[in-house]
Amino acid sequence: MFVPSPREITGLLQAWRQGDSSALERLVPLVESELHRLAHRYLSQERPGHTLQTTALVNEAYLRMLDWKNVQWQDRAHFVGVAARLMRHVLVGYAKRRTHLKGAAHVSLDEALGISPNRSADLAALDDALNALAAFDPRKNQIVELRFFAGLTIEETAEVLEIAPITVMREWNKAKAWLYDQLSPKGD
Amino acid sequence: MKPERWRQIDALLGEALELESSQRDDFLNEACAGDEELRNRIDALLSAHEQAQTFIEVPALALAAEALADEKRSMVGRQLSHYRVCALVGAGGMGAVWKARDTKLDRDVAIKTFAERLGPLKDPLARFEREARLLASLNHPNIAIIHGFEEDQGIRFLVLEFIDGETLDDRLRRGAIPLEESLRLARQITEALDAAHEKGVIHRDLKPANIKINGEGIVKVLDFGLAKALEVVDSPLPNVEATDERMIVGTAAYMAPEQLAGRKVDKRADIWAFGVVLYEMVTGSRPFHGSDSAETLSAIVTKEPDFERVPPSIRNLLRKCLEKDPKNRLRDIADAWELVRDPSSAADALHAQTGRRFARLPWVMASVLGIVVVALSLIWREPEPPQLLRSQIYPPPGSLIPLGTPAISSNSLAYVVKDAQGEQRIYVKRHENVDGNVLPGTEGAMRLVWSAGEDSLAFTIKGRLLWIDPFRGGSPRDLTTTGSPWQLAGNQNDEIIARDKGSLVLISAKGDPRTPIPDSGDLLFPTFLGDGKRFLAQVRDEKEGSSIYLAGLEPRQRTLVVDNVLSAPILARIPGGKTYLLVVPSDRNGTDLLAYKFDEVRGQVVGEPALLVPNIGMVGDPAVRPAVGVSPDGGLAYQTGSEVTRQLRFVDRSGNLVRELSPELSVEIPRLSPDESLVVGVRRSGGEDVWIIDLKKERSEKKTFNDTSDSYPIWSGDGTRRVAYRRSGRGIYALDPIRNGEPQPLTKTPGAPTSWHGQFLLYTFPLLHIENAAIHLLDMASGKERVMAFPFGRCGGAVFSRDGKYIAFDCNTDGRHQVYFQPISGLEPIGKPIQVSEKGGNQARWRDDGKELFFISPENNLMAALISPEAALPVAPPQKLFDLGSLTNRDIYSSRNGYDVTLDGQQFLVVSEPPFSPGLANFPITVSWNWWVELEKKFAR
Repeated sequence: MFVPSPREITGLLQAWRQGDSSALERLVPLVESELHRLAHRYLSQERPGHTLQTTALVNEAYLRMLDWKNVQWQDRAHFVGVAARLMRHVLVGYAKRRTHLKGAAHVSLDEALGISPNRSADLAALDDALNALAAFDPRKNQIVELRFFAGLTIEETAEVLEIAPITVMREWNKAKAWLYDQLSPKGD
Repeated sequence: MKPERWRQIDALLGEALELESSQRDDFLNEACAGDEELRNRIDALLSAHEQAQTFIEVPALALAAEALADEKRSMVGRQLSHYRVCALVGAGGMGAVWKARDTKLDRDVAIKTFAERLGPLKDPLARFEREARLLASLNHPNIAIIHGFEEDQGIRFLVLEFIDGETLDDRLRRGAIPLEESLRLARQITEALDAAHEKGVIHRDLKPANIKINGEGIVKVLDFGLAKALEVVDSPLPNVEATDERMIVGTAAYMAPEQLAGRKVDKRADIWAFGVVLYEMVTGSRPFHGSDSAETLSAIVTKEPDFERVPPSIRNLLRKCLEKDPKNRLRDIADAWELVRDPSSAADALHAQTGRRFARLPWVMASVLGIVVVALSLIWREPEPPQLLRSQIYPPPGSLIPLGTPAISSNSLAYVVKDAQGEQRIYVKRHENVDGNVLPGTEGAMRLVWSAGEDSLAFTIKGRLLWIDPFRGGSPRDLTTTGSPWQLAGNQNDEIIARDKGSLVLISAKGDPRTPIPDSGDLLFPTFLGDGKRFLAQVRDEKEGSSIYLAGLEPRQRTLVVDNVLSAPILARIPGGKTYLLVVPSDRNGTDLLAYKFDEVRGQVVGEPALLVPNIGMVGDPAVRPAVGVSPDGGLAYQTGSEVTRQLRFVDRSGNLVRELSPELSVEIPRLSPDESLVVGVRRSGGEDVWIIDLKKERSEKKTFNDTSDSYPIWSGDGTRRVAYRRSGRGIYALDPIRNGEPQPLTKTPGAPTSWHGQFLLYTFPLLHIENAAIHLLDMASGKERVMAFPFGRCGGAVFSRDGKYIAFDCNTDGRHQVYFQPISGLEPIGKPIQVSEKGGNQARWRDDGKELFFISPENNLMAALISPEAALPVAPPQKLFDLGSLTNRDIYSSRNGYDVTLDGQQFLVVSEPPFSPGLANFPITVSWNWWVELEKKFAR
């Protein structure tokens, strides 16, 4: 399979940002193949029953996909924003397709929720909640996209949005609380 | 929701979160002023905030990948043939074991599946089935029955008898087993072995993890002959992960010397393994061990176990089982019991009383002269060449080996040795010999390189280039030219590249003496490709860092090969025509020697590199030359370590030396155990690993074994002498350094533990940006985690006082850390934190009685402040005790490199790093053959 280089991907992202939807068609399988590669690494490196949460692995995946070095600094914030949007698009779409294909199976967020298994939600539900949040608080939506979908740290998010890290921390905590509340089952 | 309403909620939620939880009620009562709906919404969000600790903290990509992987590997609930998989029982290098229900026969069975990376077992199963049938015929009460081998839905699995019970390995984690009980279990093991040996079946992998004890105390030996059977189906079965040393040790520790050497084994290998198991049962520790696999394996080959530790009644038996030469070993397991004396004898009773006194752990130190050949054999493919072979080369008596560049040829090794007078000379030895010769007339020699013909050796003395023929005698020939042999490269056309007046020139042996190579001024350390025309060289760039370029004899013919490297390029060629490029990258911690596959035709690297040698030595000024030599037939010689010596020192309150430990016993971020007998800390070798220093026995032992970084270890505060540490990217783990069980995860949050009190663990998170860190609390009993509420957001390094009534920590406000302490009750802070430091400080430590706090000031002074929490002025002004700058070059304040204090507050444990102590250390050389076997496995992953 032809795998574009990080530089080409950066070009595709820029094209997508400028409204070229065919660029997205080429980006999606790429992110998905990276997802499978990551999953394979989880499978091959870990013993069953152990879960591995390696930020390093994710960072590496981003580095493989994106040519950070050659993006102009002024352009970075936009670029990162677009990359985060792409991740969200692909991962949510992927989760939805799998749910559709496999019936009840969904990409579970139990791990992320860290709570009892019956309180599961999936990426699609999170996506809906985020859309609702974006309607009245776009900045929190943006922070969640950068933190959760692009895997940025507090500090990096602060750099991209040009706000203080402490502000990101506060906004992040509040956004998490709101989303968590939205995704928790009600009325029992 | 209307944006205005949300802004109102958002603002109040923000304010409430800044408050301590006890004050929130009052605040919200007033702020919401009767607006019930508002109040309810904020309460709901506050409660969501409390519960949402780890929610969406892990990036989506990782979650999705993990979920995908889980889906692929989870078998629970699946129906395979007529077996319903119920639960995961265990997992190991070969695969996983599941408990399953046989729905036809309505009984529980164990199902063994094989790890995906092993690939599906190849080909018609006929041969395996034949083997399996033989194994299935082993009908003995002490042997787990193999019901069959089946395939369904593309998954091939073994069906085995399900045994409800623990393994001997589990049992041994709790300590030694009383003699009588040990013998009862051992007798059943020998009966199982005897029955199998009768039928000509050899176990080959007998170890405590393969021995199960059921509820009635009946021993069942598992996996009989499985190793062999799997090999028979010709599966590409790698025995173990090359990177997981613990696993190698776990299996290899029970292997007989002949098995390690890859020779054909017979039933006597099982007898050896039985001896090792019995030894471990009665003493609680293995007869052969070292701090890593190489040491363990070398102990098996070279060391005698300490039989003093064993009750006298079974010494004779163990001696006969643990004979290194199979010819002298016990021949028949059935004869074992004739060698056991009456265990109730008086000698045993005496041993039981005095045994402890003799119970000295044999400690393998690297003081062995000569060669210890260690074959890390591929456990289940003994007849298959090639095997990784490694030997350690130690200096001749009375001398040491400084860090240099060992020169290896296909028949010899040349290196520099330093005698007691400090004189350095070349030492040459043939591979097959233990001893070699010092070459006279080579005083001050450096930078050794073999000639292409391997008969002469080039080196430099004070910048002059010389040649010597080490095997024919004679004194060195001075080539009356300056330069370094590293800057020479020869090809098969008898041409040499050398540096001349700042530029490279091509010197032909045939005629035309010097052809300058254009634009070559910045090309360092050239090394020819196979075509003899192009070469690799290092280019240093102040701004961009160093890179390896491919260059040719034509002008401007230059392409980038690898960037961000620290080192000169080394091309290692192995039999079969493969080439690897060995480099040390500049963007990793420490100095790792990486190997790239190298395409000699295209002059490019292929794919990603893999780690070849962690912590490789570096030489030169600047130190860009790895301490590595390669021979044309694939030999690799290298030295690891660094000349910077670190030492742990105990100093008193004035900074005067009380005790100094040798550099071999150094760690960073040291913490004293509560009984002050051990130190836990971190050493770098590739990644970082947790090490334990035993202060009484003066020895150190590695405790974590993996490619990730294991760091920030602390001791438990519950008297169990356990250690919590951060495993990079995976969370916080606990390990037991005494019993050496599998490290247990405490939380997935990747924080750094700072204090452990009873069931509570304090940790700092996140780490990547210390400035942004916060104090987190984990309740290990319930697994719940939360942020401890403090008014400032950037706090860390929290430590409980011994009574658990206070914590001390540091917070960064306006760019400087200050130390605080805070009374707590029921794990909630009471009142405001009390500032202890005046002009900055971090890394607080309590005196055991809680009446004094120590910390490091920004000037790197060790400070002390008396604490009396009940008094009107709870903190006395801090006093400077001493300047850490006299002990170390390190900025302890900024690096947070740690220190510790004794319980009485009278002595401090610090990492001392003297300015420079050249050339006193010894750096043994490792010679490795077939090293690419392990490397290729890493590439395959």
